[in-house]
Amino acid sequence: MGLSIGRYEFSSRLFVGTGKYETFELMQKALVASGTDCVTVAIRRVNLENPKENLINFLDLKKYKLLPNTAGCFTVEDAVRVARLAREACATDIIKLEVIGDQKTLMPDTAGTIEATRILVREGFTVLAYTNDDVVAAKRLEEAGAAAVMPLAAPIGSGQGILNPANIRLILEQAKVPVIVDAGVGTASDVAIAFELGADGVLLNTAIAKAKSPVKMAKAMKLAAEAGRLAFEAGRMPKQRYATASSPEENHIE
Amino acid sequence: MRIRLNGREKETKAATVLDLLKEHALAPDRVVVEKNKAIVPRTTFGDAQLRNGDSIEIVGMIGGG
Repeated sequence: MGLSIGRYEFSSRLFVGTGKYETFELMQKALVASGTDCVTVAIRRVNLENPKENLINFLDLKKYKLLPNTAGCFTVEDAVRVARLAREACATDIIKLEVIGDQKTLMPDTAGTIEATRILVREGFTVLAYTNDDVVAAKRLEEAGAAAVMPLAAPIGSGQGILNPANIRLILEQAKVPVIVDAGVGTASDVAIAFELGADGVLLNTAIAKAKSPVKMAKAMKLAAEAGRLAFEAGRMPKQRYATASSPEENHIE
Repeated sequence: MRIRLNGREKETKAATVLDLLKEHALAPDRVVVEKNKAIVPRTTFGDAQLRNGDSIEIVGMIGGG
Protein backbone atom coordinates (compact mmCIF):
# COMPACT_ATOMS: atom_id res chain seq x y z
CA MET A 1 0.00 0.00 0.00
CA GLY A 2 3.08 2.28 0.34
CA LEU A 3 3.91 5.29 -1.81
CA SER A 4 7.15 7.19 -2.47
CA ILE A 5 7.33 10.83 -3.56
CA GLY A 6 10.87 12.07 -4.07
CA ARG A 7 12.69 10.91 -0.96
CA TYR A 8 9.52 10.79 1.14
CA GLU A 9 7.77 7.50 1.95
CA PHE A 10 4.15 7.14 2.95
CA SER A 11 2.44 4.07 4.37
CA SER A 12 -1.05 5.30 3.43
CA ARG A 13 -2.09 6.63 0.02
CA LEU A 14 -4.58 8.97 1.62
CA PHE A 15 -3.49 12.52 2.45
CA VAL A 16 -5.83 14.32 4.83
CA GLY A 17 -6.24 18.02 5.52
CA THR A 18 -6.51 19.55 8.98
CA GLY A 19 -8.85 22.46 8.17
CA LYS A 20 -12.53 23.14 8.90
CA TYR A 21 -13.09 20.69 11.79
CA GLU A 22 -15.46 21.79 14.55
CA THR A 23 -12.78 21.06 17.16
CA PHE A 24 -9.16 19.91 17.25
CA GLU A 25 -10.28 16.81 19.19
CA LEU A 26 -12.65 15.83 16.39
CA MET A 27 -9.85 16.35 13.88
CA GLN A 28 -7.57 14.05 15.88
CA LYS A 29 -10.18 11.25 15.89
CA ALA A 30 -10.91 11.66 12.19
CA LEU A 31 -7.21 11.53 11.31
CA VAL A 32 -6.83 8.27 13.24
CA ALA A 33 -9.89 6.76 11.52
CA SER A 34 -8.57 7.73 8.07
CA GLY A 35 -5.39 5.73 8.59
CA THR A 36 -3.33 8.52 7.01
CA ASP A 37 0.28 9.19 7.93
CA CYS A 38 0.49 12.55 6.18
CA VAL A 39 -1.55 15.64 6.98
CA THR A 40 -1.68 18.97 5.21
CA VAL A 41 -1.37 22.26 7.06
CA ALA A 42 -1.53 25.91 6.08
CA ILE A 43 0.82 28.73 7.07
CA ARG A 44 -0.71 31.89 8.53
CA ARG A 45 -0.03 34.69 10.96
CA VAL A 46 -0.01 33.46 14.57
CA ASN A 47 -2.99 34.48 16.66
CA LEU A 48 -1.27 36.89 19.04
CA GLU A 49 -4.31 37.07 21.33
CA ASN A 50 -4.62 33.32 21.90
CA PRO A 51 -1.30 31.58 21.22
CA LYS A 52 -2.37 28.34 22.98
CA GLU A 53 -4.93 27.47 20.30
CA ASN A 54 -2.18 26.17 18.06
CA LEU A 55 -2.73 23.23 15.73
CA ILE A 56 0.73 21.90 16.47
CA ASN A 57 -0.37 21.11 20.04
CA PHE A 58 -2.92 18.67 18.61
CA LEU A 59 -0.78 16.81 16.05
CA ASP A 60 1.39 13.85 17.00
CA LEU A 61 4.43 14.52 14.85
CA LYS A 62 5.80 11.04 15.54
CA LYS A 63 2.74 9.67 13.77
CA TYR A 64 2.11 12.20 11.01
CA LYS A 65 4.34 13.70 8.37
CA LEU A 66 3.49 17.31 7.63
CA LEU A 67 2.67 18.49 4.13
CA PRO A 68 2.43 22.29 4.30
CA ASN A 69 0.60 24.10 1.52
CA THR A 70 0.72 27.53 -0.07
CA ALA A 71 -3.07 27.88 -0.03
CA GLY A 72 -4.35 31.40 -0.51
CA CYS A 73 -1.40 32.49 -2.66
CA PHE A 74 -2.36 34.24 -5.87
CA THR A 75 1.11 35.11 -7.15
CA VAL A 76 4.35 33.22 -7.76
CA GLU A 77 6.13 35.56 -5.34
CA ASP A 78 3.65 34.90 -2.51
CA ALA A 79 3.69 31.14 -3.06
CA VAL A 80 7.50 31.03 -2.97
CA ARG A 81 7.56 33.20 0.16
CA VAL A 82 5.02 30.99 1.95
CA ALA A 83 6.88 27.83 0.88
CA ARG A 84 10.06 29.18 2.48
CA LEU A 85 8.16 30.02 5.70
CA ALA A 86 6.59 26.55 5.63
CA ARG A 87 10.01 24.92 5.37
CA GLU A 88 11.02 26.69 8.59
CA ALA A 89 7.70 26.19 10.38
CA CYS A 90 7.35 22.49 9.60
CA ALA A 91 11.03 21.52 9.33
CA THR A 92 10.41 19.86 5.98
CA ASP A 93 11.20 20.68 2.38
CA ILE A 94 8.09 19.00 0.99
CA ILE A 95 5.46 21.49 -0.17
CA LYS A 96 2.00 21.29 -1.68
CA LEU A 97 2.30 24.17 -4.11
CA GLU A 98 -0.84 26.12 -4.89
CA VAL A 99 -0.83 29.23 -7.03
CA ILE A 100 -4.47 30.18 -7.33
CA GLY A 101 -5.75 32.11 -10.32
CA ASP A 102 -9.35 32.89 -9.48
CA GLN A 103 -11.00 33.79 -6.17
CA LYS A 104 -14.41 32.32 -6.89
CA THR A 105 -13.40 28.94 -8.29
CA LEU A 106 -9.96 28.67 -6.65
CA MET A 107 -8.78 27.21 -9.94
CA PRO A 108 -5.00 26.97 -10.24
CA ASP A 109 -2.93 29.48 -12.20
CA THR A 110 -1.09 26.91 -14.28
CA ALA A 111 1.58 29.22 -15.70
CA GLY A 112 2.29 30.61 -12.22
CA THR A 113 2.43 27.12 -10.72
CA ILE A 114 4.99 25.99 -13.32
CA GLU A 115 7.15 29.06 -12.67
CA ALA A 116 6.96 28.64 -8.88
CA THR A 117 7.77 24.92 -9.24
CA ARG A 118 10.98 25.80 -11.12
CA ILE A 119 12.07 28.25 -8.43
CA LEU A 120 11.29 25.95 -5.50
CA VAL A 121 12.89 22.87 -7.08
CA ARG A 122 16.07 24.92 -7.56
CA GLU A 123 15.93 25.71 -3.83
CA GLY A 124 15.75 22.01 -2.96
CA PHE A 125 12.04 21.65 -2.30
CA THR A 126 10.09 18.47 -3.02
CA VAL A 127 7.21 20.05 -4.91
CA LEU A 128 3.75 18.49 -5.11
CA ALA A 129 2.01 20.75 -7.58
CA TYR A 130 -1.74 21.37 -7.39
CA THR A 131 -2.96 21.66 -10.96
CA ASN A 132 -5.90 21.50 -13.29
CA ASP A 133 -6.94 18.14 -14.77
CA ASP A 134 -4.89 18.97 -17.85
CA VAL A 135 -2.38 16.50 -19.25
CA VAL A 136 -0.21 19.23 -20.80
CA ALA A 137 -0.02 21.20 -17.55
CA ALA A 138 0.97 17.98 -15.78
CA LYS A 139 3.76 17.39 -18.31
CA ARG A 140 5.08 20.93 -17.95
CA LEU A 141 5.08 20.63 -14.15
CA GLU A 142 6.97 17.37 -14.41
CA GLU A 143 9.53 19.03 -16.70
CA ALA A 144 9.83 21.87 -14.17
CA GLY A 145 10.83 19.29 -11.57
CA ALA A 146 7.63 18.55 -9.66
CA ALA A 147 7.98 15.38 -7.58
CA ALA A 148 4.25 14.74 -7.92
CA VAL A 149 1.34 16.33 -9.76
CA MET A 150 -1.98 16.89 -8.05
CA PRO A 151 -4.80 17.30 -10.55
CA LEU A 152 -8.10 18.44 -9.10
CA ALA A 153 -11.17 16.21 -9.11
CA ALA A 154 -13.39 19.33 -8.89
CA PRO A 155 -13.02 22.84 -7.40
CA ILE A 156 -11.54 22.93 -3.88
CA GLY A 157 -14.10 22.20 -1.17
CA SER A 158 -16.91 21.69 -3.69
CA GLY A 159 -17.51 17.99 -3.01
CA GLN A 160 -18.54 17.39 -6.61
CA GLY A 161 -16.37 14.30 -7.09
CA ILE A 162 -14.27 13.48 -10.16
CA LEU A 163 -15.84 15.67 -12.83
CA ASN A 164 -13.63 14.46 -15.66
CA PRO A 165 -12.29 10.95 -15.14
CA ALA A 166 -11.14 10.82 -18.78
CA ASN A 167 -8.76 13.73 -18.14
CA ILE A 168 -7.44 12.14 -14.95
CA ARG A 169 -6.82 8.94 -16.91
CA LEU A 170 -4.87 10.82 -19.60
CA ILE A 171 -2.63 12.33 -16.91
CA LEU A 172 -2.14 8.92 -15.30
CA GLU A 173 -1.18 7.33 -18.61
CA GLN A 174 1.53 9.89 -19.32
CA ALA A 175 2.88 10.91 -15.93
CA LYS A 176 6.30 9.67 -14.85
CA VAL A 177 5.84 11.03 -11.31
CA PRO A 178 3.15 10.06 -8.80
CA VAL A 179 -0.31 11.52 -9.43
CA ILE A 180 -2.35 12.55 -6.40
CA VAL A 181 -5.96 13.44 -7.04
CA ASP A 182 -6.54 16.53 -4.94
CA ALA A 183 -9.57 18.67 -4.18
CA GLY A 184 -13.25 18.28 -4.86
CA VAL A 185 -13.75 14.77 -3.48
CA GLY A 186 -17.17 14.50 -1.83
CA THR A 187 -17.64 10.98 -0.59
CA ALA A 188 -16.09 7.52 -0.43
CA SER A 189 -17.01 6.41 -3.96
CA ASP A 190 -15.06 9.39 -5.37
CA VAL A 191 -11.94 8.10 -3.63
CA ALA A 192 -12.57 4.56 -4.87
CA ILE A 193 -12.95 5.82 -8.45
CA ALA A 194 -9.72 7.82 -8.25
CA PHE A 195 -7.80 4.73 -7.17
CA GLU A 196 -9.56 2.48 -9.68
CA LEU A 197 -8.38 4.86 -12.40
CA GLY A 198 -4.85 4.29 -11.12
CA ALA A 199 -4.19 7.38 -9.01
CA ASP A 200 -1.20 6.98 -6.71
CA GLY A 201 -2.88 8.91 -3.93
CA VAL A 202 -5.84 11.08 -2.98
CA LEU A 203 -5.78 14.25 -0.90
CA LEU A 204 -8.96 15.44 0.77
CA ASN A 205 -10.13 17.62 3.62
CA THR A 206 -13.64 19.08 3.43
CA ALA A 207 -15.30 15.75 2.56
CA ILE A 208 -14.27 14.47 5.99
CA ALA A 209 -14.38 17.68 8.00
CA LYS A 210 -17.85 18.69 6.81
CA ALA A 211 -19.48 15.23 6.87
CA LYS A 212 -22.18 14.84 9.55
CA SER A 213 -19.87 12.36 11.24
CA PRO A 214 -16.28 13.17 10.26
CA VAL A 215 -14.94 10.09 12.05
CA LYS A 216 -17.25 7.70 10.18
CA MET A 217 -16.50 9.41 6.88
CA ALA A 218 -12.78 9.20 7.56
CA LYS A 219 -13.12 5.44 8.05
CA ALA A 220 -15.19 5.22 4.85
CA MET A 221 -12.43 7.06 2.97
CA LYS A 222 -9.83 4.65 4.30
CA LEU A 223 -11.84 1.62 3.18
CA ALA A 224 -12.59 3.21 -0.19
CA ALA A 225 -8.90 3.91 -0.77
CA GLU A 226 -8.05 0.29 0.00
CA ALA A 227 -10.90 -1.07 -2.11
CA GLY A 228 -10.15 1.19 -5.06
CA ARG A 229 -6.45 0.46 -5.02
CA LEU A 230 -7.04 -3.30 -4.75
CA ALA A 231 -9.50 -3.16 -7.67
CA PHE A 232 -6.90 -1.28 -9.73
CA GLU A 233 -4.21 -3.83 -8.91
CA ALA A 234 -6.63 -6.70 -9.59
CA GLY A 235 -7.34 -5.30 -13.07
CA ARG A 236 -11.02 -4.91 -13.89
CA MET A 237 -12.81 -7.01 -16.53
CA PRO A 238 -13.46 -5.27 -19.82
CA LYS A 239 -16.87 -3.66 -20.28
CA GLN A 240 -19.09 -5.41 -22.84
CA ARG A 241 -22.18 -4.25 -24.64
CA TYR A 242 -24.20 -7.46 -24.22
CA ALA A 243 -24.93 -9.95 -21.47
CA THR A 244 -22.89 -13.09 -20.90
CA ALA A 245 -24.53 -15.60 -18.57
CA SER A 246 -22.73 -16.29 -15.34
CA SER A 247 -24.42 -19.68 -14.92
CA PRO A 248 -23.78 -22.56 -17.39
CA GLU A 249 -26.00 -22.42 -20.49
CA GLU A 250 -26.28 -26.23 -20.89
CA ASN A 251 -28.17 -28.97 -18.99
CA HIS A 252 -31.27 -26.88 -18.35
CA ILE A 253 -34.34 -28.87 -17.23
CA GLU A 254 -37.06 -29.18 -19.85
CA MET B 1 9.81 51.84 19.63
CA ARG B 2 7.13 51.31 16.99
CA ILE B 3 7.13 48.28 14.71
CA ARG B 4 4.65 46.75 12.34
CA LEU B 5 3.68 43.34 13.75
CA ASN B 6 1.52 40.99 11.69
CA GLY B 7 0.18 43.95 9.76
CA ARG B 8 -0.55 46.20 12.75
CA GLU B 9 1.37 49.15 14.17
CA LYS B 10 2.60 48.21 17.62
CA GLU B 11 4.56 49.79 20.45
CA THR B 12 7.14 47.41 21.92
CA LYS B 13 9.92 47.39 24.48
CA ALA B 14 11.47 44.27 22.92
CA ALA B 15 15.06 44.74 21.79
CA THR B 16 15.32 41.44 19.91
CA VAL B 17 13.05 39.00 18.10
CA LEU B 18 13.31 36.65 21.10
CA ASP B 19 12.13 39.44 23.45
CA LEU B 20 9.20 40.09 21.14
CA LEU B 21 8.16 36.43 21.23
CA LYS B 22 8.40 36.45 25.04
CA GLU B 23 6.31 39.61 25.15
CA HIS B 24 3.54 37.65 23.38
CA ALA B 25 4.07 34.35 25.26
CA LEU B 26 5.04 32.56 22.04
CA ALA B 27 7.28 29.48 22.11
CA PRO B 28 10.24 30.14 19.78
CA ASP B 29 10.22 26.56 18.47
CA ARG B 30 6.61 26.84 17.27
CA VAL B 31 6.81 29.91 15.07
CA VAL B 32 8.68 31.38 12.14
CA VAL B 33 9.66 35.02 12.10
CA GLU B 34 10.13 37.22 9.08
CA LYS B 35 11.85 40.58 9.52
CA ASN B 36 11.40 42.97 6.62
CA LYS B 37 10.51 39.98 4.40
CA ALA B 38 13.65 37.98 5.28
CA ILE B 39 13.31 34.86 7.43
CA VAL B 40 15.13 35.13 10.75
CA PRO B 41 16.81 31.76 11.47
CA ARG B 42 15.47 30.30 14.72
CA THR B 43 18.97 29.98 16.18
CA THR B 44 19.50 33.74 15.84
CA PHE B 45 16.25 34.97 17.46
CA GLY B 46 18.21 36.23 20.48
CA ASP B 47 20.67 38.18 18.33
CA ALA B 48 18.19 39.65 15.86
CA GLN B 49 17.87 43.30 16.90
CA LEU B 50 14.63 45.19 16.34
CA ARG B 51 14.70 48.70 14.96
CA ASN B 52 12.06 51.38 14.82
CA GLY B 53 9.88 50.84 11.75
CA ASP B 54 10.74 47.15 11.28
CA SER B 55 8.04 45.03 9.73
CA ILE B 56 7.73 41.71 11.54
CA GLU B 57 5.61 38.73 10.60
CA ILE B 58 5.17 35.90 13.09
CA VAL B 59 3.64 32.87 11.42
CA GLY B 60 2.89 29.28 12.28
CA MET B 61 0.92 26.34 11.00
CA ILE B 62 -2.85 26.22 11.12
CA GLY B 63 -5.44 23.77 9.83
CA GLY B 64 -5.65 23.55 6.05
CA GLY B 65 -6.10 21.23 3.13
